[in-house]
Amino acid sequence: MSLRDELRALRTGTALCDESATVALRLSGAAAFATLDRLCPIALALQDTQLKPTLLLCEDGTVFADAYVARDDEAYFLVCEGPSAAELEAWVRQHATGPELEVTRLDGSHRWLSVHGPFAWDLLATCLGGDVVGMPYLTFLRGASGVVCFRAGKTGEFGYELLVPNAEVEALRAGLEQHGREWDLTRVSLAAIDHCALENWFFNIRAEGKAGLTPLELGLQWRLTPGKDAVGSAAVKAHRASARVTCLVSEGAMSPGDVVTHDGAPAGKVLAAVDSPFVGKWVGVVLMDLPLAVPGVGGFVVGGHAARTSSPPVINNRSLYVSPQRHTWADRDSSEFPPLAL
Amino acid sequence: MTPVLMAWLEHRAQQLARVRRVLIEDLKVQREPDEIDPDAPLFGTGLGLDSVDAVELVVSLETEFGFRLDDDALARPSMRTVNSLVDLVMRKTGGSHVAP
Repeated sequence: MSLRDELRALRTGTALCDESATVALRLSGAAAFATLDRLCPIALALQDTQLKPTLLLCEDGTVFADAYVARDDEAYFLVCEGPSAAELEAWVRQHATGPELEVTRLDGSHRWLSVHGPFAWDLLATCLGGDVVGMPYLTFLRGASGVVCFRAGKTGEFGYELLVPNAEVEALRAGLEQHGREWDLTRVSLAAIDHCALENWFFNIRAEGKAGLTPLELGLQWRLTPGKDAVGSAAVKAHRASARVTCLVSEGAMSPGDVVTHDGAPAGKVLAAVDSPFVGKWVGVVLMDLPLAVPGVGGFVVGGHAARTSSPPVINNRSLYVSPQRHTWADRDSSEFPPLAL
Repeated sequence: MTPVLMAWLEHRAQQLARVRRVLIEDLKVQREPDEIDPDAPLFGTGLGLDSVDAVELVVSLETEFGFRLDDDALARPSMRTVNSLVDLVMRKTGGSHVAP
């Protein structure tokens, strides 16, 4: 299976991934909310089964974890990429606001599977039940046999992250693959998921997130609530950014670390890049000096190739046009769907 | 940087400021202008607008900038981030979203 085939499944059909860089904790007890509230720089007004995307910050304002917080009745899931489960548990305990905090690591008892694509909901409904179809974005569903289904993908298409008890993993995966034949279900890698995340401008803590930047440079202020006091938020407030991540598109290859020039002078540095088959060009995350961190500007050179800034996302996602109320898998080749390239 | 590019960047910055003002004053986004990231998603995550806000946003943009937003093929991809809205405004107001 080539990366291109994996990307096509993710962008137009259904895709199953059993690789994951995600770790989860379950927090309960009287100090659970206060501890999370101290750690998360976003306001945590959550209803049961609702998720909120945020960041966990270091004291210096750089990013420790790319996080979702989900309310599970009187407890919470803390779902993160970046730290290991042990590092995350230690981080939470270090910042606990009181002794009545129970922290349960789920890495030993559960595994992650994920299903993606504009018709992922159609396939998942056959395996987890019809309630999947009506799930709002950023909610979770308690399924049978302890499976928790989070609707929170990072590809720009319908995405469902499944937290599965170890004893149920093989049966669920087999069920998905058996039913998935009807949907041309394709196994995809984490690299393919990361590729789509970049095209859709989702933050990737394993790429640009390794550059030691604050939410100001990363364009992630929306993951913080203004005025909220949390770990790292004071450092972010005091910080003045001189550069910001910007989408750069080029006919030629670019790689992390490449210097981007404008009028012959250094203007930025590539933090991550992919060769997008749907766009037909390379797409890069560049830390660009602020005066030129604007989409629509040409005259850049990277890796010896001309380049231009652009407004991400660079994909016209099929999932924007697929409606569970109006479409089924049989409509996948419908001419009403516009091309993926903008 | 050429004077032509500097002028285009200045014009785009002004349009970005107007779009941010629409988001704050009409859509009640509870942030200062410079706290609204230009590449922030408008709906779902990001600024957290919903389908009701989408209607209000179209009406507010049409009022603020004096154009009609009736081409769905153009509108839907343009309603994804603050920057893509500014690109739309640049095109609809007789300019170009691409610098000369």
